[in-house]
Amino acid sequence: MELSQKLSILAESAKYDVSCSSSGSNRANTPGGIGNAATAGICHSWSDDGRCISLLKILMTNDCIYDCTYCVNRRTNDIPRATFLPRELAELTIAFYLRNYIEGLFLSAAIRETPDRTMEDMVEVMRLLREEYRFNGYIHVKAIPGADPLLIAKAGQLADRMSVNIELPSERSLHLLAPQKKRESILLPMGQIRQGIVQRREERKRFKKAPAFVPAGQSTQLMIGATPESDRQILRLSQGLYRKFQMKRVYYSAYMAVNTSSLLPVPGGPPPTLREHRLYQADWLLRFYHFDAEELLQEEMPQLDLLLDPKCMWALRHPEIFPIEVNRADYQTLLRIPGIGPTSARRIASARRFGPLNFDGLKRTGAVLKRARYFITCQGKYYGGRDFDPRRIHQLLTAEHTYEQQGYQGVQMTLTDLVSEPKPLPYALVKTVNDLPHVVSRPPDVPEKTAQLWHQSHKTGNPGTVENSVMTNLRALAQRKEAAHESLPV
Amino acid sequence: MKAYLYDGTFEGLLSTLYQALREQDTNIRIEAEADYQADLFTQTQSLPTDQPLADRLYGLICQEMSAMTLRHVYRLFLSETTDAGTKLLPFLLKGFQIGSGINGLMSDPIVHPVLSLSRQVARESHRLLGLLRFQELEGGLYYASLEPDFNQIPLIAPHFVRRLASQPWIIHDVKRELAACWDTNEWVLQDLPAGETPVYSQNEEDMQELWRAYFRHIAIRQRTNPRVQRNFMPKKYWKHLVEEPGSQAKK
Repeated sequence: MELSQKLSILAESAKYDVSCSSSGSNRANTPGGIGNAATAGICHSWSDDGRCISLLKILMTNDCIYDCTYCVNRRTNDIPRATFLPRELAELTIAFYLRNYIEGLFLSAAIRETPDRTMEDMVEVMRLLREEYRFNGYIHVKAIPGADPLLIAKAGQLADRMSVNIELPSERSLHLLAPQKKRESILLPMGQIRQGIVQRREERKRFKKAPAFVPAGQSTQLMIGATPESDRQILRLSQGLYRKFQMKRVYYSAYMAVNTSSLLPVPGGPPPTLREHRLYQADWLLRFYHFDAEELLQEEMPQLDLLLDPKCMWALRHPEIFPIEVNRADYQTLLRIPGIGPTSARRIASARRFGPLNFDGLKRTGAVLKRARYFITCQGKYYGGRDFDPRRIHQLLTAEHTYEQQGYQGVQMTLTDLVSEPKPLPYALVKTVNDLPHVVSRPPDVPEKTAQLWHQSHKTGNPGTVENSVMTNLRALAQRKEAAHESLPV
Repeated sequence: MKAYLYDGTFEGLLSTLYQALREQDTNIRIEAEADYQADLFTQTQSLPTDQPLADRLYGLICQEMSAMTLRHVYRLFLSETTDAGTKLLPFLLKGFQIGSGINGLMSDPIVHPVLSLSRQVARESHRLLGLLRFQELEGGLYYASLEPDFNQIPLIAPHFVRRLASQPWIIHDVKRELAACWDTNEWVLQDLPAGETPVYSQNEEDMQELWRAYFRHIAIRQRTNPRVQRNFMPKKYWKHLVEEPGSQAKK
């Protein structure tokens, strides 16, 4: 098979993997070597779907022994199959890298023959790159669940980042859609990688030259919209992963229906990209804004609002703390204001050292005032129109979203807005008055029992919020399976 | 109103700024001689580069403010906008008053124009680190062309010196007819006229075709989103790319 044909087939099979970041590693070039890693990461291009191309994202092979219902590369799909030879792929990576097309390699694979065999091939590509070509660029590699821990350890020494994809956010879904995979086999390499990172970090404190182990950390990916888990379940799982496994990133992938199955959404429909976007926003709130998953979504309200970002949603449910005076609030409180992020909060804080901050100064800090103005006062003055009324603000902000979707920028307050009575807020206010993390102490950083979450998630599933057909199908199938199980002669 | 003109070099800018700073007058325009447009009401004075003064200001900025501030000054110089020097004068005066805090003082009407222009320059450099495309020429030389808004070559060349140290390369700013040349030993900045068509090495065309194929296949068709693509990668950069962005949208 020609190289270009292989490349096309294996890129096609790899495209549903979301991660493409090349940040977090500062591997330096060596004398006579090729390449280095940039700590901030560099995007080299953007494909026609608007996603960045930073690494050569490719499968080693798409020839899979598994038959996961959701996957494009499942054994029973009739698609062209191809497999790279390790040297072929290493050469291609170097040729692309020297032309500055890519920042490095993102190597993944379908399971060919056995997990060990697959992982061996992947390690061989990395070994060729690092040792023969003296390549010091970025390498992201998938840990294959079920592969020998020694192979995973070897991969960790050669790679910058490793990941194990969870894909299905609950054990129940995993059981139904990927019966050949086990929860334990996914969590095991994850735990091993985490332990390796922690251990090597300790060693490096004593011995400066101790070799790195997965210096850019590990990440994972969850599929959105293929199975009936709620946003709340997904966010709680992510939070557990961040706390317990110290993930660098959890990626969310809006499920593109590629296979026909009664267990999955019908192929042909658009992927739930807006929901994916809202989950990413909530994810950012967890990582950079000191939010807790419990603050964002409660049991009685398990889904994020598609028309409004999660921070606005949170703020509108907490009218008791708004509007906030930007000249007096501390950094943690500033971070709670919609339209103000870590950068503008930092700038506001440093500006206040030299005198009071006025509204023009606030504009220059880069705060997004089209949102922030409803939630702040600046030198005692409220800039959000009539008064702080969550119902009115909700209406204006969602109108803004609708206009933006249509390509307009911004929305003007109108006379009708000033006189008419706003509609009631679509969500309940949260009862607790003081749940700002700096007012009460931060929720303790006890490692969440992620494993337990997996078990529990199907119990708290909220059938009212998801497509009923999917839910009914799942339930029926589960019952059938249970029945079949029970009737087995022991 | 007064205008001080410098010779268009960084040292010239620094020494002119130094002399203007001594007068403690923020109403002086500072412009490159070549860009200056004369008008009736301005007294102009051309100042030659005074190396010791330039060195002195260079050291003072690092000492009184920070190395980061010096980087802002350098980026503004490379932005080649006519009022860069004029923006820098009150900025530096303020910097001598408040020290390194100036780097975070975005909300200030004097500081903001400087920091935001500096960020604009930095943003383009970062983009180009990714968007630059080398082509292998006959004889093993790698050649990349670009046409940036600002004079980026001095900012991006050191990155490629570190990264692609073991191969000789040329990064050519076609618009400014300026090139950074690396011979695996040291890099120099030199004038290089545009217009010559380079001769590719034997497998260069094949590699470019492979990259184009990869680029086509990595996109998810159902998620086609040309607006986001152009936001991250404005069309002005497409000319020097190997891949063909936007071909999905046409279909």
